[in-house]
Amino acid sequence: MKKRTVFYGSLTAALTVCFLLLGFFVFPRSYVRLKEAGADLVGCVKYYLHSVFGETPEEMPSVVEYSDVTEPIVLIPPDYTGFKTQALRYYRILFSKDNLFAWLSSVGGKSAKASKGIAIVLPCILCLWLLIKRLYAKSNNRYNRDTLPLWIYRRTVERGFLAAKRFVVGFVSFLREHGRVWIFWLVLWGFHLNLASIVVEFFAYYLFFAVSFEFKTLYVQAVKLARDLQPFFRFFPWWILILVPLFLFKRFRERIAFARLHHYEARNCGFIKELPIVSITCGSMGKKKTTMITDMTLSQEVMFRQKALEILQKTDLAFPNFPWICFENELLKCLEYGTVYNLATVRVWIEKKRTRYEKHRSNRLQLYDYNSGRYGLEYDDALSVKSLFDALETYAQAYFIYVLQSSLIVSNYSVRTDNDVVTRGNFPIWSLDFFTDRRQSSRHAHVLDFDVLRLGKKIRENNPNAGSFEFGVVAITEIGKERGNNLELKEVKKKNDETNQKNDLFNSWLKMCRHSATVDHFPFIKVFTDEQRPESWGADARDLCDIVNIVSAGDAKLALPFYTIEEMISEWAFHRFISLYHNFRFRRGDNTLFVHILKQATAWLWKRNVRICNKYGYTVLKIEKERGTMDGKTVPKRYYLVNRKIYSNRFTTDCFADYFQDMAKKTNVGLMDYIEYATEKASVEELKMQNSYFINGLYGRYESE
Amino acid sequence: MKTLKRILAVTVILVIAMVIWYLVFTGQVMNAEEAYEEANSLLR
Repeated sequence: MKKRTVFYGSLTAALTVCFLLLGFFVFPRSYVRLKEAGADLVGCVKYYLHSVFGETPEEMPSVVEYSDVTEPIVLIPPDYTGFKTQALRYYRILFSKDNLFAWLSSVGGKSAKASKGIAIVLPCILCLWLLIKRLYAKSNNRYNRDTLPLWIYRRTVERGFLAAKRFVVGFVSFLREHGRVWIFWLVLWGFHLNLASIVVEFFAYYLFFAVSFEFKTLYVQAVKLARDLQPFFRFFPWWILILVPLFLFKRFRERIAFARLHHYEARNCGFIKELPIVSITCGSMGKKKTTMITDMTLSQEVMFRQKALEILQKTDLAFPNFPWICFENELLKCLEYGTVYNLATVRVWIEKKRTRYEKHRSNRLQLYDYNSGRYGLEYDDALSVKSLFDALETYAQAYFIYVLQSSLIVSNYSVRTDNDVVTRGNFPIWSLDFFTDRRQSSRHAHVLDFDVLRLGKKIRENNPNAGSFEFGVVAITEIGKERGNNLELKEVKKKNDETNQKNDLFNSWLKMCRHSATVDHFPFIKVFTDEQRPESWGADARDLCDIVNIVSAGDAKLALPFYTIEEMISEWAFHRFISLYHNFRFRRGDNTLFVHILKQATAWLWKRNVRICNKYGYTVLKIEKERGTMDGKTVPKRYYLVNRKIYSNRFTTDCFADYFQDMAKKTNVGLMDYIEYATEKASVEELKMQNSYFINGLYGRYESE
Repeated sequence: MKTLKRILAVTVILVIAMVIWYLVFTGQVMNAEEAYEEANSLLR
């Protein structure tokens, strides 16, 4: 390990010396040009100061003249008149018939050359293909053995490549550890490639232009910039230079894709805001009901944090001179010591503070040296007069919701969230972006104990959690199976001793849940449920909801623009390879060089395609929103399911799978053990084996007759 | 629809490539013309 560090250190030193020598032997002009740019800057500073504090000098500074160091570019004339003449000439040639014919003849010539090449290469490829087909026609069962060419390839090319990769990765991580080396190299190359001169010239010209407004000098600056960029284009070969526009193109389209995804998320938030506190999402199996409520739950959690922050900002401005940071720190201490753990205890804490202040009137002890005499204890918002302690109560509750480092989701299935709080000991900032590249720490939703939502009888007697739920996002999948409807609960009586759906007062909680969750007139509570049919949930509760019917889930789409051709190549390569590969797998058990290389290339293309689809893919759900009273009036809407947000291990669609797994484990029977029909027609014994009501009924009647 | 989109994308790329090729070719012709004129003026 130490040896390697010494080696990397020596390599860094050698590279630094090389770069310095390059500056001396290859880029000496850049340094002369930098000196000239420095002189231009000094001249412009003088010109600027003279213009601002005295008279504008008659003589123009040297910045408006061409450099003596840089070479002129043939294609760009030195003056604007020459440029205009050249441009006119170019356009004249561009639209001339002769030029078009000459170009067509050139295209024809090049195409003929290419055709000749293809004509030579094509039979070779065909021969090679036939040869490979003949070689691979023979079957074998040499399981996982490498052929000789593959063995040689693995030991030479792959080993060499892996060693080189390991070396480069190690060196890059070494350089990352020594950030100063990177910075020094970047600065050095900035000087070598004339970028430093460009920056100095920019400031020089800015100072000149700010006081002179000489527009006619702009052309000279553009030409000077082009000339100054020459070392950059001359030093690097075209195949390296082409990486620059490719990188810029990548950034450009990624930016568009992220903007689209954020726009779709904003539209989803708008849709969720329109929903009442309780909603039920319906659709047949596989229509993405649970996916949709999970998506809405995640967005709602983020919106609650954002709303809490908004309340904090507004309350802060109501009393701009109050030392909020001290108040926050005391609240955090109370949280740490357990004196404050929910909104009710926050209110109690503020009430105590108010009582103490009214008793002792001590600004130092209760208000952190806030000068109440000077800045006041009241704020008039033209609707009512609010006291400082009202503001403190609002602020403390909003801060409690904002700062709580646990998921705000309570659900009957697990939902993963990865919002991250960033703090430097002052005000914490939540990172709430679903589409960021950072891998964040995971949290999971809280287990929903239904007793906390029951105002009446509880399943567990003296449940310590009962009555504790105040605010948050509640997600309940398959609500109908939990609560039942009027028909199913016909036999269930309210007076029963056992807790049931009629005496647990869950519906009363639904109707009143916002009372415990309201901070600054905003309810920090939302209940998302799903079921296959809205009628599966009793009308008393369902009437409170908006029903979101999923009509259809559209095809997968991509927010990344200009990806059609890459997708086409990936798909083509994948399908071609898979058919070839399966044929090969059928015939042979060993590994060959040809298939190995094809597989590596296809796997790279396929993985890249999958990553892009996962990163920028989305689906549009067509939905119809109607009132819980089911009056038949539906409003068509759209909901966007973005892969990056909802499919990154957020939840499992088989959330109750463990129940079935537990049952299946105990049976000792599998699909293979089920008896098969002997012929196309079922025998009487086979029919009786079905344990069917229908068949049993038929035979029961027959036998009794 | 997908096939149509792909055909359109390939066509657009080909057209852009041809246009760029034509623009560069025109620039080369202009340079050649200029060099020819310069040589002629020197001969005169």
